[in-house]
Amino acid sequence: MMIPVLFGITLITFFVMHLTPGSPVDGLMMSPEVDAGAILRLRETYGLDRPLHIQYFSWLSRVATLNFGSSFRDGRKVTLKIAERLPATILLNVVYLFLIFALAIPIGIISAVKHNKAIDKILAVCVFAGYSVPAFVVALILMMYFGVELGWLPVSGMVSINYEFLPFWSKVADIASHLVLPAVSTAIGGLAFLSRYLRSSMLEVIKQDYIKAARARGIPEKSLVLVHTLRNAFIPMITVFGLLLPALIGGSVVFETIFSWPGMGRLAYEAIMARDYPVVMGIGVVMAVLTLIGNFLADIGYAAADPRIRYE
Amino acid sequence: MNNLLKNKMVLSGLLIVFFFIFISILGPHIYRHSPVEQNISHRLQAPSARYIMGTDDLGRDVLARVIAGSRISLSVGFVSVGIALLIGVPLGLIAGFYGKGADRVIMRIVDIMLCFPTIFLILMVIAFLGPSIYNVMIVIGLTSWPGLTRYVRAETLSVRRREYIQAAEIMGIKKARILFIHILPNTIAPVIISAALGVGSAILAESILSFLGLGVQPPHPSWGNILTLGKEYISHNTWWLLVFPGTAILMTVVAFNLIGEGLRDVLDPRQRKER
Repeated sequence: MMIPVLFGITLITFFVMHLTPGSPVDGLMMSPEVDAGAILRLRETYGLDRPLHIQYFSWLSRVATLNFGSSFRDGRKVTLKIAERLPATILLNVVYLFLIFALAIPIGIISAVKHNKAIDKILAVCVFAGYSVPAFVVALILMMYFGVELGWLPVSGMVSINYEFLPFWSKVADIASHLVLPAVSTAIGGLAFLSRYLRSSMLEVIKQDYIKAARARGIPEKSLVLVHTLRNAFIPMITVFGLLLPALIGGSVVFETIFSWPGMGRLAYEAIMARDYPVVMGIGVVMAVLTLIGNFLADIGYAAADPRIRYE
Repeated sequence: MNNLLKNKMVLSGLLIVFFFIFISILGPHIYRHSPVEQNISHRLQAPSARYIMGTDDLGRDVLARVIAGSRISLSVGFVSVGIALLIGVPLGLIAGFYGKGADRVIMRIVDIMLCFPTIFLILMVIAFLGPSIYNVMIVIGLTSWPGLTRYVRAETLSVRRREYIQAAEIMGIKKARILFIHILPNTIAPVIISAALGVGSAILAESILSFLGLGVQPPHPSWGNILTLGKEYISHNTWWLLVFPGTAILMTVVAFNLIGEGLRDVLDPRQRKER
């Protein structure tokens, strides 16, 4: 499963990039000072003159040795460019995941336990709204209200200008204040998705005979819900986590661009706009690998949560 | 059908959608202000009696632009879902009905597509092909079929084991006929549900692309590119450039989600009793 997916993703990325009209040296051709010979030599240095399948396989064989090449734009190593952007993306996404799990679990439990009561219906409407609301519009509105109107929170970047000179704890607080808007606005959709899923999963489990049996044995309601039901209801959630990842990584392209967050998503946007092939390919690989690692962790979590599942 | 209209979610969703269809067709004839006419002396004006939704940086009427944008959004939604249906449904039928090699190849492609951060792919194609509304429709369509294929395949697998399909096979009816006349209609429920939900997410995707400058190009109006200006002038507190197009996007997406969810309640009896 892993190898074909990795292969497929790089293949699609590569051919989409090369089969569409235009090339990275186009910009130079406009300039009257650059003669045709120079452009040919440039194409040769980058290997853009060779047949596509040869370009792909030579790229693949270099990637096998973890050599992703250098950026067309500034000549810096792709691995370096991605490595300096990755921590910001991971920070944002870890905070995001923490937020949605921390909120979705109580919401899911409450609406399942109070099934069809008023609070369940109110939560259902909120969840539906969160599900449908365009998160990037919410991001913009929050930005305007909390960032501009009230001036409480910074609206772009990850650190303030004077970051270098701050003591350690102020640095942490600085990054945290920059994190609030991007994390909150990305979390809305995922939160709604997750809490709704947990609710229906809990309802499914609550109906089971073993829960009735446990209740009959006089197990207190609290541990019945929090231990017996939640643990079983959580198993499908782990799969959901795997499904959420591609959306999360794709979403980081949009939200990092909106908030000028110095992460991999914004690097992807910049590289795509500049037709920086090696960087785009490198990011494609990293995204694929992150998704696969996520799925792998989900599989492990699955086995840990459900002793009936054993992987050979 | 009666059941459908009794469902409050479907009904309210349909009402909103009809409202937007009405606006996109008749709106420009009722509200006779040009969406592209500039009036620099009236730039960035807050909503007033003359400009109900205010004006943008070139003094264009935001209400007229929101009305004109509804046409773009709805057509992107419907066309791209149409493309996704044309790809996704046949592939799902083939995978579920013929099984074996075909199934393995198709489902492998679906797995790869589902692992791919779609917005990355869409951005890449549009950025390289050049931004245009047609490219947006095609690319959204080409990237949104895998979920559909999964549903259709699952439905086909369960239908084809039923006795009446086996009977048809024994009677010697051609496979293609069984597939299209007897199996296809039975997979229609999940198809309609995911098509309705798909229109909503296609509209959302279009607005994101236009917002990033990769969809509808100015001076042509779209909800997404009004938002771009809202972001650009965010320090001027131009809330009307965010709130009005944002609400339009929200309402259409909510409408299609209501239709999709409501249909699921009506058409999928397995889930109905749970609610």
